[in-house]
Amino acid sequence: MIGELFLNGHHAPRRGPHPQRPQRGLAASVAALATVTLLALALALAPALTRADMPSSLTVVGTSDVSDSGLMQNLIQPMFSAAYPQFTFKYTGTASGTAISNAETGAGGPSVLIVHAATLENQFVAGGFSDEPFGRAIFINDFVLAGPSGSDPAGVTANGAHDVVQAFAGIATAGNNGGGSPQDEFVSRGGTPGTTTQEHKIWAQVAALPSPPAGVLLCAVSAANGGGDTPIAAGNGVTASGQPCPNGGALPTGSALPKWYVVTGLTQGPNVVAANACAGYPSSACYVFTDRGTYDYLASGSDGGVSIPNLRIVTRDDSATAPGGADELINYFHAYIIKPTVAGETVNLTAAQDFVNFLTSPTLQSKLKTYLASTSDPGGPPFVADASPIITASGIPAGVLAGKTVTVTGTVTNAEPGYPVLTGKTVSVDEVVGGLPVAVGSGTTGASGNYTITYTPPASGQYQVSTGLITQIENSTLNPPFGDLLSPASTAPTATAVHGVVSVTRATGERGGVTVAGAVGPVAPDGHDQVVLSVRRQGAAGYRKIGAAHLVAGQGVYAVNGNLAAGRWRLRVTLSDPGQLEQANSRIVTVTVPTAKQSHSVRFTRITDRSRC
Amino acid sequence: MRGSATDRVVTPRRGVRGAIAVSLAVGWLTVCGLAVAGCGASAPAKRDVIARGNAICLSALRAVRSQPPPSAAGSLPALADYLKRVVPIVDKEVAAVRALPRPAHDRALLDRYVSALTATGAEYRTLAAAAARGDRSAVAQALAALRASTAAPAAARYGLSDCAGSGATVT
Repeated sequence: MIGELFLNGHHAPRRGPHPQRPQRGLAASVAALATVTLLALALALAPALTRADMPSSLTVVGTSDVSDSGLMQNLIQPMFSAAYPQFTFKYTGTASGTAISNAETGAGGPSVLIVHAATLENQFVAGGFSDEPFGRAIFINDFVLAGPSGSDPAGVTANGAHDVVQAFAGIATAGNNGGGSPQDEFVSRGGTPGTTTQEHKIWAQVAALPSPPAGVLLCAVSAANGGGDTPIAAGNGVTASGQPCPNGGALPTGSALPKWYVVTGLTQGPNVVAANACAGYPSSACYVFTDRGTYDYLASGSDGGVSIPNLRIVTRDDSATAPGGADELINYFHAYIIKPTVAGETVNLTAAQDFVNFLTSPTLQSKLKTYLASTSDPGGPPFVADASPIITASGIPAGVLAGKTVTVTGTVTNAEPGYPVLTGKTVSVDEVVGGLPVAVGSGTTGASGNYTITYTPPASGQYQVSTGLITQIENSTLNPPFGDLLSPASTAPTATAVHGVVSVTRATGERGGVTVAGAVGPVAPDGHDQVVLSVRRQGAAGYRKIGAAHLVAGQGVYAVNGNLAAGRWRLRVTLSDPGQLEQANSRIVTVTVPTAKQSHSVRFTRITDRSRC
Repeated sequence: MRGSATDRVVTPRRGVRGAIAVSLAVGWLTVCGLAVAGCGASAPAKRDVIARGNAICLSALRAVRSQPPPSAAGSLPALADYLKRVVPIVDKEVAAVRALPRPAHDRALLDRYVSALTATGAEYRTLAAAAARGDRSAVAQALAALRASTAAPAAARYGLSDCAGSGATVT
């Protein structure tokens, strides 16, 4: 298989052209022929190089966060290719905005989109480009601000270690430096990556501070470009912060940018590397806003020889009192199946569904915590599973009498921090039958995500609590609102033993035998129930079977007899229904089997049966 | 940094002998590559079969869970409606598992699982038919047969952990 992975898209680092020398003579001709042959063979062997997805290929376009962090090539792609070898996989990592544009036009033939920009994703969905009502939550990581490992001219560690808005304000203040030469630079990717849209959101919060940085202008970015604010140099038509950026909210470029605000146009990893180099800028103190997955990947040296020794994380984990609260820096990722019926699309729908199912499966979700888990980052593994809600359940019993009701309570929690509580969602108690869940009871979550379900376990087996696919509006303040799909969730199956009940209402000793009658509970559901009559002579050890009777479906009473010699006997009846109920014993009954001409007598003895639950 | 492979410049070799050597090497590598790529591909390893099998089961489980559960527990029409949506998913799962390659190593175990799963699929169809005609006794019998299914333990014995039960999602 060809596991091709395109790590850089439109934002790839630009490199100077290498001079090509003209090839001469026979040597050149033979080499050229060999090259053409090789290329032809390569094309024949590599369907991934073609533009559109075919039944055997899957092209995914998305944020460079998942490729520049190594997550795609080191974890997702190998696992997916092992599970679905029938698809040749290709991932193109670029800016989220670019990836969305490509997904909308079909450029590059993508079938799946992975992005992290809610203010752009809502437009993608509203435009009718998603095959599902919303994107599927797949995982989160967190944004961090990295700065110089030595100096800190913006005073971020002192004032903004857990307040990214204050940190941005400090960088802008030091960068503007009262109109003088910048004391630091903010190295931005520019454009519309998810990281930049988050950055613009934070600049808007800077503009809203009671004391915004003096002399710093921030203009409003259009909704089409993800909204928020961005720095702009004076003299470009913006006289006060909050005014729309020129050209209908377009992003300033070139000379319209302040000296301290550098736009590289690079993908996530190269942009961080550029900030680490901090070369060619007025100061030697660069700050960069990035995602922790990419930062940890580069900082740990996991990216084959690339390192960023000049940087350190200066802001992370915003405090609850910071603007935006403790969830300000959460970086939410979503996956979309691109709608195949949109003109220009060449979607491999089967492969796309398999891939997003894989992304949200426990198989992959459970592995996320192992990725970059051994770096020195005190924050731990950067990627956190959030595809399915978290369910708690208490009250599933280890054993219960047949026909009795059981009450289970618990909560369903959105695994995406900072998003709304899951209210009004259906929760089920399932019996796992033949490996698949069959609901035996259901309920609805309340205002705090709590639920109560009462049900009657129909049989001994494995039970679990589950939710189906949940559609959730996560941010209703956006226009259009931003929603997502939360994948089905379940608790670990718990064994419940359902105990049947068998009673003896009459035991009659007769010459040569005994007849016993009674009732069973529950009423036999099928033809598999059986009652077995066993006896032991009073004073002797061990019961032996002397009779049995099968119950037909719907039968609730029984009569069974057996041959016995004269004497006093202790007897019991056992109810069994393999695969349905636990074996149940009746109370022990003493009966006298008469000799010839002797009248019979019956005496019941009440004995507690400790084997029942 | 990234993309270095595409940026790397291959300097042309000089001279006829060098060019011929390159051509021969390219040809030989091509032949070897073709052999590895398709003609001489070996049977998949057991771990690959497990990865593919687990993916099939997880996909089926996810699809089943995405179906709204029966609206009323114990209601046969509701169960019939639910199974109408679930049985095609089970059938698809069974077909996909049956199509898995079966490496020689532990083949008997895998055969046993496939056979048990096929029987389970048939029982689900029986259950659906019984529920559809409102036959409570037949439903109970089919459910009892499903509870006695050996598919899950057989899957576990082969190492198909995600086919061995309805596990918990990650929290």
